[in-house]
Amino acid sequence: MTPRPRVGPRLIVSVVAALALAGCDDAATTSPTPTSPVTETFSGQFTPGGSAARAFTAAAAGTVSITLTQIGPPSDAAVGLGIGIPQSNGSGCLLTQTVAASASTAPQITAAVDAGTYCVRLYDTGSLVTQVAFIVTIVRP
Amino acid sequence: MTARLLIVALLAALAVACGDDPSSTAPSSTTSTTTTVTYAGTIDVGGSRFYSFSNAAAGSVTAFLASVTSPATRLPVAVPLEIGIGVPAGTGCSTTTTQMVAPGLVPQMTVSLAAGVFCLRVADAGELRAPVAFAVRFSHP
Repeated sequence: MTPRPRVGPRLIVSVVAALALAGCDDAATTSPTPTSPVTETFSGQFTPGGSAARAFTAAAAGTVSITLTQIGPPSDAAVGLGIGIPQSNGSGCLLTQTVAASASTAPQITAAVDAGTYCVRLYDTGSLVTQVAFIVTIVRP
Repeated sequence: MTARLLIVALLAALAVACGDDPSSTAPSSTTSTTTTVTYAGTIDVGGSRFYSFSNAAAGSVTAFLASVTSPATRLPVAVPLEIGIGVPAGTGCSTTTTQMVAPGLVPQMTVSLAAGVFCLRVADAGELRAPVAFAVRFSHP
């Protein structure tokens, strides 16, 4: 049997120290991926006199922007757009603020929010004569 | 010291060095939880409503008036209400902190409280001309 070569303590220390430095450097694996702001799309249809609502969650305090990007036909239809908090039983959206909105590329509602669950609601203000389809963009923390 | 013993000792030291820093990443030592409540109802002219809650531990209670709407239309009404925090007294709520607020979606009141039973009160301070529906969101330990 061939005798094993002797490994000096200094070499062992150097190798283990190098491993230690490499093993402790976890920056590449644990850096949080930027996830905010998040853009959500809410689309659907509603009839004259009707409304549509959707809940969304702000993961942190920040600013929420809501844009009615498309509606119609007709494409110039105007409806009510609001932000609020969901009822605890999930049956509706308790509105905080509303605006009259037509399709736009600029946010119609910008609101500071705490972390939590909120809702957006579209509703007919009395001007619709036929069912309309819509797309709302929600940008939230 | 043998080479094998030296390796074991260094690896043990390495394991300690690479461990998470308890002061920065360990869960809170109190492991406290926060309960978020949506308190909704209606208020008559000159009226008030309150909601009792129990703080499981000392900590901050935050609250905001999220919605004031017409019960008929469910649309926002531009009327401020008074929100307050206090202790149940008889059949009412004896407030120790009050504030007149308009609806918003960020904390409007923050109060440090001990563990125990408290109440959140919503009241008309003379601004209402008709009953309104309200919703308050608050968080407590």
